[in-house]
Amino acid sequence: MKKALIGILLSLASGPFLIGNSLADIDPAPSIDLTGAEQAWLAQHPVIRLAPDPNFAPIEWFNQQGDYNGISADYVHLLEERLGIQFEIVRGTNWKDILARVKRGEVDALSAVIRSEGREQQLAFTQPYFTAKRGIFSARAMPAFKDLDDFAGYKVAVIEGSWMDEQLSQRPNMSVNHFYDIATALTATSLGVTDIVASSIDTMDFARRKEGLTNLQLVGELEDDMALSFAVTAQLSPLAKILDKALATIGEDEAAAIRTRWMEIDEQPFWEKPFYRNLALAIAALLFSCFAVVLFWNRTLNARVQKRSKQLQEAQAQLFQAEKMESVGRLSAGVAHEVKNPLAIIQMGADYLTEVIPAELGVQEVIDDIDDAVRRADQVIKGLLDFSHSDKLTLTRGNINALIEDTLRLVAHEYQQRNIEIQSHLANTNPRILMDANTIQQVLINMLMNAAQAVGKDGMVTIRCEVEQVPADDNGSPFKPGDDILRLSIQDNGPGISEDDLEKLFEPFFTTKPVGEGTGLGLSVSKNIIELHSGRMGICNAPTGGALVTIDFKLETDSTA
Amino acid sequence: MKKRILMVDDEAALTRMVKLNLERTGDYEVRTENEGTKAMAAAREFKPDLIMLDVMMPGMSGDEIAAQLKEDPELSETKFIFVTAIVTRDEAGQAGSEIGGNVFLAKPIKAAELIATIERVLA
Repeated sequence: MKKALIGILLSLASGPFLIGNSLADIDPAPSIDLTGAEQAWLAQHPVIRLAPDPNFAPIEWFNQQGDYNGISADYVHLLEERLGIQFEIVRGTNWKDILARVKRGEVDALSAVIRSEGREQQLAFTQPYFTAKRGIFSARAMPAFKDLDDFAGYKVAVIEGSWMDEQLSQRPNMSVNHFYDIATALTATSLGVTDIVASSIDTMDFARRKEGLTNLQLVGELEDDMALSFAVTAQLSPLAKILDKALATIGEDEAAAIRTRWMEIDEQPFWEKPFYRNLALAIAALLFSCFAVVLFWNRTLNARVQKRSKQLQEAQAQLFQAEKMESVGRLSAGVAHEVKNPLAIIQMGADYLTEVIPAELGVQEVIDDIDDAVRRADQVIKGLLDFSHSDKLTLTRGNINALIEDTLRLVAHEYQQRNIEIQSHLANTNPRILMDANTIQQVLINMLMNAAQAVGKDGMVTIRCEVEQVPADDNGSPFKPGDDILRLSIQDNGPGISEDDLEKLFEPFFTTKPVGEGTGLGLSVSKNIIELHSGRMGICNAPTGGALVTIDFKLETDSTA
Repeated sequence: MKKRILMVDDEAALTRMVKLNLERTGDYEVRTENEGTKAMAAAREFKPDLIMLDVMMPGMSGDEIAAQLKEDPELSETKFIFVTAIVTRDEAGQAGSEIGGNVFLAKPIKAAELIATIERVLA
């Protein structure tokens, strides 16, 4: 951090002036032994167009203010000083751009180039003035790489037009991904797009820290060091020798001072870089999105859990109800047998007494009460047996409207006696359902009589039969939203049903009727019958008051008939 | 001549009540049995004009007793009435009806109805 601060301060100040002074303090410029031709050449070429690699820190690069910086820059300034020449710094966008400029003749010299056979055809090189360790960075563990041949089988991120690019292109079985600069190559490797980046360890470390690519590690060092030279175009080849002579005047102390000065320097905290600011924002946005998604998911999950729990509870309740029904059914058959025989004995006994006891003793009333008691007990047993018999139905495709009208005729007398009005609204399409007409009629009679008892004298009962679609929010078994159903509803204008009673309505033997007037089996038997028709039955309080019984059947279309 | 009736039911009290009601009319001689094998023997010895059988009995059911007795040539003229407690749907369907020449009655039955049915079957 301290070094970084110094670096920034240095670069903010007039670089060449400061550098020149500081270096002069260390070692005063020695004289360079130039030939007459060389001196003449320099006189003819007072300005040399030099293009540094803009993305090769800490060896050379341009800082935020656009100043040419780094080890090579220091050498450039020294050369200017000692040769009395001027380098016109050409700022390219990346290495590929620099090479293109060289090719187009826009650039005379390069300041940090690795000598290669291919390059020597276009460029004249000085002796290397700086050597750097070559290493390999990767985001994951890698085997020990010794030389470039070991890269086979890995995706290598390389700078387009770089020495590494040139070398790898000459080797078979290399998988190379090209990038314009080292930072991008490292980022790609950090993200796993590529496996490795091989270049100067210092350069990569600098870029890695600058870009904050903390997952990248140095996974190996190559045996061959990177030797950097100046290079000049073929047309300016005499310059190479002149530069060599000047470079030779730079002593080891000077070189060491330059090296020390630029190594491990950081230009700017990475968090202040627009890239990282944007990255941070992107990460924050991503985290927020994740958070939002997790929150939403959590809620959805919660809602789902609650829904499932409710479904489970309902399923358990249904199962419990079904088990209860089944046990009641089993019980009723046994009970019927055990009760009917004593009833038969009582009946026969009473009948015998009627015959043998003289009428004047006035016991006929007692006998009649016995008769009545036997009849009531028998009704209870019949209810139980209906219950146990309701699992055997003979289903045929039938017109429910006709059945309703037939049933209304059956109860008409009872309704008239109580002066109860009955309104019927039946679907005009003559909907058909699969039903056991006898048992459905039994259910209808049961419901209509319940309604009549609920409204009392002068009440009103409405029976409807309509084709409907199961609404989207209705997942009640056995139907799905969107299913076509036949809904039969019976509504009365009585007092309705209390919340407590609503829960128990379908329980066997539950009744709100006075003792002796109901077995408490009507609704449970009815519900059982409807469910055996693959339908469902529900009772609620209508919004307009009174109880509302709904019975939903699967609608039989002609094709399903 | 009085018609002979064999009443078979595992409920002894019920057979007694039926016997009282039928014999009170003076038209019938009633013998009762409460168990399958004894009922078979009684039928072959008593040679009743009518046998009333409870359908559900421990051991032999009324159906089984009737099936065996019907194969006895000496009982070829004997009529049968089944009395049921209607504990199955099949029985419910049979109650009060005549199936295969046999009459089915549901318990509890009033004495007057029983007598009327017997008179019809034996007519």
